[in-house]
Amino acid sequence: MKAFVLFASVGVVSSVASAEVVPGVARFDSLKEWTTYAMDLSPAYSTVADSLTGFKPIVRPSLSGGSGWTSWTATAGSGIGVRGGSSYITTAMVGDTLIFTFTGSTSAETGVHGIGGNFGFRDEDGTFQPGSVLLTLSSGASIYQTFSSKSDFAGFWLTDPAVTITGMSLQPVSGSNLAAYTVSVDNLYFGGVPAPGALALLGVAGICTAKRRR
Amino acid sequence: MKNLALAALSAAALVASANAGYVPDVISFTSLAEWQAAPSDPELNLYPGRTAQFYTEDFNISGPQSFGASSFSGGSGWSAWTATSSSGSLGSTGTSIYATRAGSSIDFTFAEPTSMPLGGVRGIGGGFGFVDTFGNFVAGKIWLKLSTGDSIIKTITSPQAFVGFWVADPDQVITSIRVQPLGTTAASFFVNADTMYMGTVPAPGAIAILGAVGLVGSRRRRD
Repeated sequence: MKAFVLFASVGVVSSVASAEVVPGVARFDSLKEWTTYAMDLSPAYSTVADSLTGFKPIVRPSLSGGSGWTSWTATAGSGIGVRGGSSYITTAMVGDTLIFTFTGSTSAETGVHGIGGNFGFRDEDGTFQPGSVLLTLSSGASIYQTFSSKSDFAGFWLTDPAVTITGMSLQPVSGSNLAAYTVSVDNLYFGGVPAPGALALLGVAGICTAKRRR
Repeated sequence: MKNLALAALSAAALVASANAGYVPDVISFTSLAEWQAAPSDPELNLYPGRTAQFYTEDFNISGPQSFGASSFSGGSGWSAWTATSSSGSLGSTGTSIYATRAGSSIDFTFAEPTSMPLGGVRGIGGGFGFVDTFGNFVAGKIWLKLSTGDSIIKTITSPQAFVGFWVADPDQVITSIRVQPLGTTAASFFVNADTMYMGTVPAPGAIAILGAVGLVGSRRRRD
């Protein structure tokens, strides 16, 4: 639930900036490279992390979090599980696919253009378990990756600014884990352009605070 | 957790019917074993009822044209490839090919299939990275771009590292791939391709032709 801005890039020139950008989908297995790539795409892009904390520890049909353009809803056939005091969400039953729908905005200006996270599996005690996950975006772009630790990362950026990511599915695909563990997410990372209204509000709030201090 | 799940099942069934909307079209891989297993993996079910064929290119190129060549070619039929560089010049270590100018890319192009769907290059992957002037591996960041617009940005830390793709969408095919150097390594070292793995899933017509050729061949042998 807790979200914080990782950075807001302003006109940074980097090694990729001069590269040819063909409209499509870029994949990453490094959070650092995923974050850096935002600057190469557009100085307007920001990235926001959601640590998926603050939820009541019950199983429910769906779970929603985030705010504004980073709003999301998670669903699974068996429901969504949250363990007390934990900072991850998981499907309630083994073998289920976890689906995120990004509900904040579908407009090209303020929608989600980049998405990533720390994925893997959980056993009944809530302990992380390694395994392979097929991540598929609403556009059909996919990553097949084996996650060996809680910090392992996978993510996407859409290189076409006119297209947004409206959802992502996490399908467990490794044989042994399919029968034993549930697919899980520890952190989600969003990339996009904050709504101009939100930025304006932040500006107004800043002016008010400065006046109060004076 | 499992008991709680049973209580939530009926309500959840109403919500979780959206799974069908997420159908992979282009899948990336960072493990050679997983890439090789993908076409026959029942969990992925990429090419129902079809069997993939593979070709491995080890770039065993030598001779007077092994440095400063404008292009290299290899494979045959569906696996035929031609490599060029954005700087216009390629070299070979005998077991890999590389762009002879730091910062330049290597472009591989493949023949398009004569008919769709399927056929042509549908799977591509390999060992890519950098070499120094002695042909030794150097770690660094590359951007592997398909003609479909799909790509991977990855820091390659060992010569055994693998990156690859399968195109599941029968209406798409891979006609080219670019290995583009990124980051500080690109300024001093040469992007290379050590091994390239290619995959295809023959179109039904191609399978029928192969079958007919096989029948004719066996009749001739009998005569």
